[in-house]
Amino acid sequence: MYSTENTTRTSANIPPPAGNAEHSVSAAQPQPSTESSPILRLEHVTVRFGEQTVLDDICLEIPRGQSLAVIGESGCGKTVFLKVLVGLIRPTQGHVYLDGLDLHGLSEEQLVRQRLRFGFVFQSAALFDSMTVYENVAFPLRQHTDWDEPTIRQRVTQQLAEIGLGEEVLAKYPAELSGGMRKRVGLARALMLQPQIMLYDEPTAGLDPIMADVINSLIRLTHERHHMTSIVVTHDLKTVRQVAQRVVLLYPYHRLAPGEAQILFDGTVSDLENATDSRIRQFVLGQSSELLQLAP
Amino acid sequence: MAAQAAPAIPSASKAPATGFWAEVWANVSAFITLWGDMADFTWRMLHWMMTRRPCRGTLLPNFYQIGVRSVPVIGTTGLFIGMVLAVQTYAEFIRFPGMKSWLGAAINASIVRELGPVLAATMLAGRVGSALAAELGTMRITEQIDALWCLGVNPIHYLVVPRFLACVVLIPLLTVLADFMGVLGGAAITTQYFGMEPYEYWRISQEKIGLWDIFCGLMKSTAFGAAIAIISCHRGFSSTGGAQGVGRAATDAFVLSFVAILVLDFFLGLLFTGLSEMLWPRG
Repeated sequence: MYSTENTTRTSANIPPPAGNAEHSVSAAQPQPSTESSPILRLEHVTVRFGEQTVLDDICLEIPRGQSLAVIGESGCGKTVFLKVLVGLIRPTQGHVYLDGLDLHGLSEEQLVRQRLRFGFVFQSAALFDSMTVYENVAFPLRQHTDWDEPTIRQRVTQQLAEIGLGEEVLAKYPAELSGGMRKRVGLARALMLQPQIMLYDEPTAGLDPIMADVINSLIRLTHERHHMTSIVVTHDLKTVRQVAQRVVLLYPYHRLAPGEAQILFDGTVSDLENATDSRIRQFVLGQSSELLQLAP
Repeated sequence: MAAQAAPAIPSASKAPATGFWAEVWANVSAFITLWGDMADFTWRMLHWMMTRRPCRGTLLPNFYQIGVRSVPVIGTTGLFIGMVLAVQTYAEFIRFPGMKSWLGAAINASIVRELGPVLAATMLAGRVGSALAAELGTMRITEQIDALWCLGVNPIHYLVVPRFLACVVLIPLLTVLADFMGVLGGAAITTQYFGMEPYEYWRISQEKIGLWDIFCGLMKSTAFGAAIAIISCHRGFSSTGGAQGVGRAATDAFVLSFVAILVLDFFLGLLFTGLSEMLWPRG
């Protein structure tokens, strides 16, 4: 009656820590793709919540291995954009293709499998608050591998060391951690299944400048070390300068002129900083302009 | 999916009602949407329960939280239900000659058939249902449920299935405890406080209460357990809007569970009465 596999177990393709080759996990069926084809493609994606349009007719291709920053004012739909990419929000119209596979045409079970190719670092870190740091980071391995506990422990400590956290945090609960530590633990957990695409939602929000710099460095190092595609949603230009090869600026739909595209800018960081469009300049220079209208 | 599985109970104040009938229609459509969504949630939960084993390490903590930690409150509730029933029933029965000997049957039948299952389930809807809704609601608004999706784990399978199993298995067992304590409390008050002869009390009880009564009570409590689990988990999964949303989910979980308990009690009562008359016709 029951399937002999645990949920989505065969989808993980994780090499074991050094010296534990016997614990390797069967690989997922690879998707038909070539190195030159975009790993993610959005075709006319529109998202509406009731009467409110958040994303409108977004078309975008994200090449394999690219580090993309999606910027824009608060409320312009950046987080929704990220959640559409990973299939957490279904677009009202349009399609998202992952290596040519229409994500929103998949069954719930198939979609869960495809999500293993993504790592998601949430704005609030979204650590499971009833679990310790160790249990949080070990969680993906416990769900998707048959590794024994010593092997999992070895992999967890190795991953935490990679992001600069020692074994002293293993027994702590998320409530006992600072904001920066929570983000790093969230990053470690997202990396455990060695995803192909990393998604970061406001990774430096609410952090002091030093910790923000630590997180930016970790994002850059992770991208370089694991050769993955990174998509960072942020409104922090320092993050953009440190991590992004390409920048996309989303503009709030309700302030667009009729017929205007919501992606106001798509190019490199230096192009962004030299852009002449007043709305892009306003964002880059951080000017409130006519947005601040105080009562007399 | 987050966007699909998260509709809150639509409230009349949010509907764009322009008149009385528009408001009535908004409420009716909200009601249909709510129960339709809950049916879809139940179907998905049953699908995952039938096709996959529960995730490692999720069953025992839920059995402990829902079962073991409810024992004191259910025991106390059951005991006092029996004692109160004994006091009230004695006061009425003593007025009619010959009725006193029927006290045990009246008290124990009420407890086993109706009061034990219904009041134990009501108590558990408050203790367990609200806690489930608040816990899952907090997980929803802090994106922990989204995190489960992103880690390739189906939250319905991981979070809802073990809670459902714990409620369906343990709420009947807790009802047995409530029944036992109620019967004990009723007997203690009637025989020790009012001085009724224990032999007489238990003899009539034994004659009038059979296994069928206990079976009906347990079947009812199984249905109540399923309803509490589904409603509470659904409200938690559907919560939106921060702390206020979590509070609303907990309240909705209790109120809807309570209504469901009473409605189920009525229909199951009719069903079991019909079955009883079919199996053991009178005359």
